[in-house]
Amino acid sequence: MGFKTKIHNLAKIQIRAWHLPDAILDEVYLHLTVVVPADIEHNLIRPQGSIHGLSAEFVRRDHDVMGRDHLFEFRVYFGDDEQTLYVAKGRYQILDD
Amino acid sequence: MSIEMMMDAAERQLTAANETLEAWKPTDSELAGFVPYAENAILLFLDRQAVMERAVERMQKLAQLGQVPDLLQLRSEASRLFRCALRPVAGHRKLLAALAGAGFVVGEAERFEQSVRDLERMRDELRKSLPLATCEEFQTELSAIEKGEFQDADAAFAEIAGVDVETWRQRIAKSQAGL
Repeated sequence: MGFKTKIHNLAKIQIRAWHLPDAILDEVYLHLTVVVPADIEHNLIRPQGSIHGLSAEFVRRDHDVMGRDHLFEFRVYFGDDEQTLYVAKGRYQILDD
Repeated sequence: MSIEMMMDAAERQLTAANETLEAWKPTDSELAGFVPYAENAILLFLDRQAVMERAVERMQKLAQLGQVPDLLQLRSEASRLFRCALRPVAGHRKLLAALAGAGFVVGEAERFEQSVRDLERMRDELRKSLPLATCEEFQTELSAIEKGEFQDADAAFAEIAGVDVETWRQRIAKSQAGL
């Protein structure tokens, strides 16, 4: 099933504030709009006690800075139409080896 | 102790051990000398389990007590800490394989692999057990969905990148072509 991804203003403000390199920003977009919808089962987890929300956690390697990874976790929801993924909030960290 | 202070303290402990291990790089001709090094490295690695058990216990207690204002931050810090704890694994495995190939037996090698499995299990269980949001956050976000406060991803990311939607789509098409 094809999911459409929607972003909350808070998540948008957060992502902008992270000042991601262009290539990483592209990958975040592609992960949330292509990778997750293509394989929900392996890309989202539902922590215990979470009836509605799911976690989308992923890591992206920085090809411009050796040994640097970018770690993301977003809180997402399924829409009632079962065709929309809502991205509400995120967290981001840089991980250097 | 704040989440940041707790995580920083644990990470400093792990990073110091990582740096010590990474700094030791004997030459091939000194392969036999690697055996005690590998054994020490494994013993240091085994200590990580206790460090991480304490950190996990503390994180779970904080989450249960409702003392964490941002649960996503706690989850994110936990992921970072486990990555730090598991960082030496690839290097250790490479060393152990080289030693095994040369016929050297390294004590505790099996315990090392068991410890890696235990840490990975601990990490996966924590990801599933740490709450994702407070009840208030869930309610606020579900209400925002009902109110239609979310924006199409193309438009949102175009804004983030400071371009119009068409330019963003062209950029992503190029990015996908290059992957």
